[in-house]
Amino acid sequence: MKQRKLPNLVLFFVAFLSLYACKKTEDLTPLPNSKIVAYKVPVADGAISGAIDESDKTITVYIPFYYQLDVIDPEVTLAEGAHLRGEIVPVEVLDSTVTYTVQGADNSTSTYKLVIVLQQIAPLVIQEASTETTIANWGVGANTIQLQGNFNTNDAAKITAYLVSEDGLETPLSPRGAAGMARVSVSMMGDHKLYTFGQLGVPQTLDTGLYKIKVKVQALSAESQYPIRLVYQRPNIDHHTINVKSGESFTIKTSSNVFHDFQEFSITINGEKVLLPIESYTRTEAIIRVPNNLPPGQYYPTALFGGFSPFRTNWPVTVTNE
Amino acid sequence: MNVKSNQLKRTIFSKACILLCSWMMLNLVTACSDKNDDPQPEEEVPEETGSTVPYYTLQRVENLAVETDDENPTEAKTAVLFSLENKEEVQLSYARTQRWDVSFSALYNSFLGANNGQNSTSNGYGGAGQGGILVLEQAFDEVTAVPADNLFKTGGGIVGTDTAGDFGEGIGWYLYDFGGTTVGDGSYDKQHVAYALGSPLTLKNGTILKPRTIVIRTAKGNYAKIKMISCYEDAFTPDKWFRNVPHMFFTFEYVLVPKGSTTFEIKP
Repeated sequence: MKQRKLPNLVLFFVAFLSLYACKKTEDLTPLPNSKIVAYKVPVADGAISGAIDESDKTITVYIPFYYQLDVIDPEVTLAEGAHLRGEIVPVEVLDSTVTYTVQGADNSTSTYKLVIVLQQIAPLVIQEASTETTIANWGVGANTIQLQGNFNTNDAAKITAYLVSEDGLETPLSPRGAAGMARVSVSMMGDHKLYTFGQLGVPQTLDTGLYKIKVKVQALSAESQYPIRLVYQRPNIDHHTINVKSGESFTIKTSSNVFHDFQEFSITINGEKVLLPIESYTRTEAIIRVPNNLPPGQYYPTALFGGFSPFRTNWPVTVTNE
Repeated sequence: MNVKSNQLKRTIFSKACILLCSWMMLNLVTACSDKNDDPQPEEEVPEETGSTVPYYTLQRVENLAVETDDENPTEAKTAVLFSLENKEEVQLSYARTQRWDVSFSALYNSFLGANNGQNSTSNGYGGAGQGGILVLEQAFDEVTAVPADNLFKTGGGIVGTDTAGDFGEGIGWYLYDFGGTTVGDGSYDKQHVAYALGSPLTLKNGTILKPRTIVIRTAKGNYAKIKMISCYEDAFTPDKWFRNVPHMFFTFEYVLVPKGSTTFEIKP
């Protein structure tokens, strides 16, 4: 009798287990489909795939420097029925704030954080303008500054140069120099490339003194070991076309080395130096007055700044009658 | 006999139990695998990024303004990028994307170029642009065949001044009349005038220049033909072009056809 009951019990147990197990399986929560299943960045020779990590909901994209991308414009593939909240727009390669929120067909939502790893060649090294024993002098307002280093880009827009004062204040050099917008040129130095960035302008507002040079190339930055010294160099006067009546004033300007210790502005009449009074001047412009009794004519003026040889213009001041 | 009979019954019962248990175990494994509940392989559905300009329709862009500085005419200005597929200007920081199709660069931003990631002179260098550009000595309406891909140039600043005028660089989309005597009457107002060659142009010596049509392969591989009409603001015919009319304001017409097309068509 006992032998008969045992199989019945086993049968009952298995049946119970079977039914119980089925109930458990039906309770499983379906996987949410609010997923990004592919993230690709089209580039010149194909596409870079982003690594999607579902455990921490990140998308990591490695961008080699040589594509010289400022932005990535991704192609995002979602799970069936899912959609992105918001539009897919290009993302700056240095932007670390971008997230994508996906809403699934099952109304679940997931938010992915984008991580862009810009693969640049480090360290960034800039060539020193000064040495341990000799400090290079740059003019306040000089606009022919060139910097060299392993910038590894020919896109001037990706490079920013600064002067860093002794108290740590960074002032960007102007990308507009004497030859227009700064450019990058490349030359071979032995077995490596040397990049020259320029011409750049020293801000006309800076004080004289010691400054270190700092360069940023996208995610990399470097600072010179030795400082340069900003000094007043021989001022320059921009080319002007001046037509003025005697007794009136006119303005001259500089877009490079600033005016400093402006002593005289003169013309020569019959071999005699005639001073045109400097009514006022700043670092960047000066107001000059033409004396009342100055005879009409075309004169090539000369400017004198303290400590420097006279600056003779190659453009005239044309004086007409009052 | 009874013993044997009982043994037989037990054997049959045991085998039945084993079979039943096996069936139940199998059930245990398979019953729960309802196909409807299975996670299905996810189908990849690309986001739609289609263009906004319909194919085969004539489009017109008027007075697309680009930076100009007559005081400093020899300095190249910041390039301007334009999307033919979306009919809009695109910010320069998007240069290395497929979001634009034609660049305006170099002197007076008057030289047109392509968005091509493989050409280092293209603004799109490094990006995924597949674009190209060429210019034909044919009227816009007469350009019906899409040129072969190997005829396209892929750089920036490719199509600009025409050799029939001053400072010409091959076949261009405009004639520059430096002295005002090639096309104009030599007057001050007719000096330094740029004549778009979208239509035939009669020179002072009686020569009639054939119209030019630009053909673009877009960044995504579609094709467009372009008729350059003017670079002067609200002035679309040569009689209204003078040195002091505000410039550069590009006016042009174009039609877009899809990748793989062999002909340009404009459908009603």
